[in-house]
Amino acid sequence: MASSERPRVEVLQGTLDLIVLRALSTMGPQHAYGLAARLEQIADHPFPLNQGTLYAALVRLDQRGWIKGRWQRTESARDAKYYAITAAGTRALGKQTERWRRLVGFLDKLLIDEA
Amino acid sequence: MSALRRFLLRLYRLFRRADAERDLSSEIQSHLALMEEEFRRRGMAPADAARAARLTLGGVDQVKEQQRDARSFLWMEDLRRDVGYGVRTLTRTRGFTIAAIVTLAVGIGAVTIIYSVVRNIVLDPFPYSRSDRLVNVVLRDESGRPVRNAPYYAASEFLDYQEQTNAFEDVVGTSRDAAYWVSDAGTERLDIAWMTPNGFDFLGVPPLAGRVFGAADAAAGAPPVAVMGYRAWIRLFGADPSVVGRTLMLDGKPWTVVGVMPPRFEWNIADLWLCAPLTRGDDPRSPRGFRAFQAHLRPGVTPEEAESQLNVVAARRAAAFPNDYPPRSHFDVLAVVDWVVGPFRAVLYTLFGAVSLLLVIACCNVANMLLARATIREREISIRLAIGASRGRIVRQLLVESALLATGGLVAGCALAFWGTGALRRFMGIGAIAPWETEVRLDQPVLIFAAIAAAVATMTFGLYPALQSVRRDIAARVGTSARSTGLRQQKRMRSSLVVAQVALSVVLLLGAGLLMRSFVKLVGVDLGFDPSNLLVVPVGYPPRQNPSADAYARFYRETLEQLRTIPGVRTGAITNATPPFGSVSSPIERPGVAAQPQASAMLVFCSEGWIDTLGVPLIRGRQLSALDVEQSHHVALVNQTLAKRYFSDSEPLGRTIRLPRLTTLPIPVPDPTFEIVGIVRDVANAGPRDPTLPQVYLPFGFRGPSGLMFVLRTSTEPRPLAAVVRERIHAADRRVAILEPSTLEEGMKRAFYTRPRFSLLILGIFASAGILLVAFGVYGVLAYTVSEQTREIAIRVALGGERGHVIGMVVRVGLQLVGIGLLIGVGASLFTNRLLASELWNTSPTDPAVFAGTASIIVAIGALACWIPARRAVRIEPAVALRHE
Repeated sequence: MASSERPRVEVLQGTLDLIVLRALSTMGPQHAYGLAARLEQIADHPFPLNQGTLYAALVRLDQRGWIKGRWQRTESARDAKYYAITAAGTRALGKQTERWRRLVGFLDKLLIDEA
Repeated sequence: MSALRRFLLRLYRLFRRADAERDLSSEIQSHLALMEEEFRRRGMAPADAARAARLTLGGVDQVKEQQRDARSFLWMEDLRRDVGYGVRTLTRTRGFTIAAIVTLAVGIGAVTIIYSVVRNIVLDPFPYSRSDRLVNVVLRDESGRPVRNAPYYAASEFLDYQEQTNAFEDVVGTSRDAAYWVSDAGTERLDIAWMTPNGFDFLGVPPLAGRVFGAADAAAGAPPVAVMGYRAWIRLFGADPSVVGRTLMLDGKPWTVVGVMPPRFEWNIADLWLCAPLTRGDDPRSPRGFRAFQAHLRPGVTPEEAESQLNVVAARRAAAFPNDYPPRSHFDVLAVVDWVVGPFRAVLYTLFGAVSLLLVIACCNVANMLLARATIREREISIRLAIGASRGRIVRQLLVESALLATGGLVAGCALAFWGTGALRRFMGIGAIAPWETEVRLDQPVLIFAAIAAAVATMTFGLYPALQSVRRDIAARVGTSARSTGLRQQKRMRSSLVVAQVALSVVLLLGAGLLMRSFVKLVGVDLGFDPSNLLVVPVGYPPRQNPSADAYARFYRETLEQLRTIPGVRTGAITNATPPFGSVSSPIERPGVAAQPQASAMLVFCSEGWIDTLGVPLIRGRQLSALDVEQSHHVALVNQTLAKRYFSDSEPLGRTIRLPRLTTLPIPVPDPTFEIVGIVRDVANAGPRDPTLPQVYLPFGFRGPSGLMFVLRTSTEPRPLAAVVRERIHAADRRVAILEPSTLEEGMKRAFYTRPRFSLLILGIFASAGILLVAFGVYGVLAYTVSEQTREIAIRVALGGERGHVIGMVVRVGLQLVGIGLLIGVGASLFTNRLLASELWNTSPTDPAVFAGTASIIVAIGALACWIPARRAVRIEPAVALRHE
C-alpha cells in the first residue's frame, strides 16, 4: 500500500461502502463520477475523499453481490459504467444502517457521558 | 452462500484478470472524461480541466492498485507471482533445471518400467484362476534331475498319483502333440494339446466365442470336440466367428470346434485343445497317454504335504516297477510360475534391485543439487529477509520452486514410463524369455509410489535453505558460530550423498560389465561351424492312407534335388536337427564290450552332404554317400567327442555301435546296429554355452517321415529365398505342411541370445544412467566447494600460487569422495554379483578385467566432473573474487 499518497482527509474506516450503497439506493443507477459528484454535493464542504478510493468500494460491493455494474451511454453520449443496487444490496443496506445507528448511539453515549 | 459466490467470483476474476484490467482502465478513462467535461462547463481552460480532473481522482495507478487489491485473493495472486518467479528462476539456471528434471524422470520412469516387468512376468503372469496355487508335480532323482520326462507321466501312473492323494483340489492332464489338418487349401501342421475334460474349469478362463468343453463332452458317444486358440484363430481363419461349429479333419479324424479362447490363454501353447479323458488303458508311448500332471493345491495344503503324500504313492509303485524309480527319487511340487520363469526370476529381481538403487541415486542427486543451489541462493534469501520479506513467504516461494521441479520430473517420468513399457514389450520377445501368457503393462501403484518418493525428496531438500536461514537467525541471536557448524553439517551430508551415489553406480556398472563380458563371450563362442546364410525349412509330412517307406523318402530326395537348383543356393541337405540345437538322445552300446553306464549319444538323421552344408570337416574315414542314404545302410558318422569318450582304447572306424532308442521310434528300426564309417569334427549340439555331447549322424530314412527339415546354405542373405523354396516344395507335393522358414541365426538369437541381451541392455541402460547421475552429483558438490573457496583460491592465485596446484586441490577433494564410493561399491558388488551368477557364462562374478574397467570409468568420470569447476576456479580474477565476499 502506497504510504506517500493518503486521502486528504480520511473517511471513517468502513463507512465508505455504506455511503455508496445509500447513495445508489436513493439516486438509482450511477457511474463512479456521478456518484462522487453527488457525494460532494451532499456534503457541506468538498467531500473529504480522493475520488479514486470509490473504486475499491465499488469492487467490494460488486463482489458481495450488493451492486451490479453495466456499461451504458451517458446523456453526453459517452460510455460509462453504471452501478445499480441489487435486491441483496437493499437488504444489506437496511442491516448496515441499523448497525451504524447502534454504533453511533453507543459512541454518542460514550463520548458525551465521559466528557 | 454469498461467501461462496464471492469466492467463485474472485476465482473467476483471477483467471479473467486481463478483462478486469481492461474494464477498469476504460472506466477510469470515462470517469476522467466526464469530470473534465464538467470542469470545462464551469469555465476552465481545456488543459487545466484535464489536470484538475486527474488531481481530483488521485493517481490513476494508485486507483488501479487499490481496486486490484480489493478485487483479488491476495494469496492466489502471490502464488501466481511465485510460480512466475519460480519459472523465471528455473529458466535462468537452465542447466540445473534440466539436470534435476532428467534425474527425477529417469528415477521414476525406470523403477516403474522394471517393476511392471517383474510384476507381470514373475509375480502374476497367468490369466488363470487360482494361479497362486497352481503347481507342477515333478519326480526328481537324487541329483535333482526330472525322472522320465517328469512332470509327464504315463496314464496309469498319473491316475495313481491323482487318485491316491488328497492334497489337490483338482488336477489337469495335458500334453502337447502335433496333428495335420488337411483341407482344400492345403495341409497345416497344428500344435495341439490333449487335455482332460475338466481343463477349462481348472483354468477358469471364459471363451471368447462359443463354449469350452467339459465333463459332458467326455460321455460315451459324445462327438469329439476341440477349442481353438486365439492366435490360431487369427492365423488360420482370419478371426472368422463361423469357425465355431466347424468340423476339422485332424490326422483323418473329425473334431468339432466348439469355441475360441481369448488372447493370453496359452495353456501348453496350442492351436487347438482337444477334449481327451485319461484312462488307464491309454498307450503311454503316444502323447495322448502321457500327460503333464498339474494341479491346484487345496487351500491350506503346503507343497511339502503334497510331496510327502506323493512320495508314499511312489514308494508303493516302486515296489511294482523298480526300474521306474531310481534310488532316492522324490517328488517336487513347485509353482508353475517357477517352472516356467525359472532362473529368469533372479535376473528380474536383480534388475529390480538395480532400479531401486537408481531411484535412490536419483533422489540423492536431486537433493544434492538443491543443496548446492541453496548455498548459492543464501545471499538472495538473506537480502530478501533483510528488506522485510516474511519467512513464510520465502518458504512458500521455495516450496513452489521445488514443486515446479517435481512436477516437471513427474511429467517427464510418466512419459518415460509409458514409452518404456511399450518399448520393452516389443523388445522382450514374449515366448522366448517370458511365458506366452505375459502381458506387460504399466503398473500404476508403483508409478505413484515412485512419483511420491521423488516429490518428497525434492520438496524436502528444496526447503533446506529456508530452514538454514531460520537456524542462522537463532544462531545470530545466541551469538554462537552456528553458521559454520551448519555449513559443516551440510557439507558432510552432501559428501555422503555423493559417496552413496558413486557406490551404487559402481554396483550397477560392475553388474552390467559382467553381463557384457559374458554376452560377448557367448556370441563369440566357436560353434564349430558357420551359422550364417543357412535357411531352415521344416516340413510336415502328413500320414498317408497307404504309407510306404519309399514314398516319403522319394519326396524328400526329389525335393532336395529341386531346391539345390535354386539360384543362390550353394548346397543343401535334409536333417532333423541343426546345431547348436540338440536332437533325440539314445543310449549307446558296443556289441561285445561291457556297456558303460549312462553312455548316450545324440542322434542326427540326415542326408548326404549335411556336414558339407554345415561346413564341418571330416577328420577320418568317409562321408555318408547318396547310396547309403537312399538305401538306408546301417552306417554312421560320429563326432570327435564320441570317438574320444567311447573309443579311447581303439580305432572307432569299422566298429559297430548299437542305438536302442531307434527301436522305440514311431516307426521302429528293428536292428539298431551301425558301422562307423567316418569321424567328423565337433559342433556345438547342446546350445552355445555347454560342451559338445557325443553325436551320431545316421541316414534320415531311419527317422520316419516326420520332424525333418531342409537346410540350405545360400551365397547371400537367405531370407528372400524362402518364398521360392516354399513354392518348389509345394510343387513337389501339395499335401505337405511347410512350417515357418527361418534362418539359423534367427533361431539362435531367439533361443540363446534374447535373454542375455535383454539383461545386458537393461542393466546397461541403468548403469549409464547411474554414471550420468554420478557425474552430475560430483560436479554439483565440487562446484559448490569451489564457490565456497573462491576467496581462498583467489588469495592463493594472487600470491602467485600455481594454477596446477589449485586445480589439484579441487580435484583431490572430488576424487577422495569418488575413491571412497568406489571402495564401498566394489565391496557391495562382491555380494550382489552373486545374484547374477545364473546369467553369467564363462565369466567369474569377480572378473578382474571388469572390476578394473569399472574403476577406471568411475575415476575418469569423477575426474572430468572435478575438472570443470577446478578450471573455473583458476580463471577467477583475484580482485573480483575478493570483492565478492
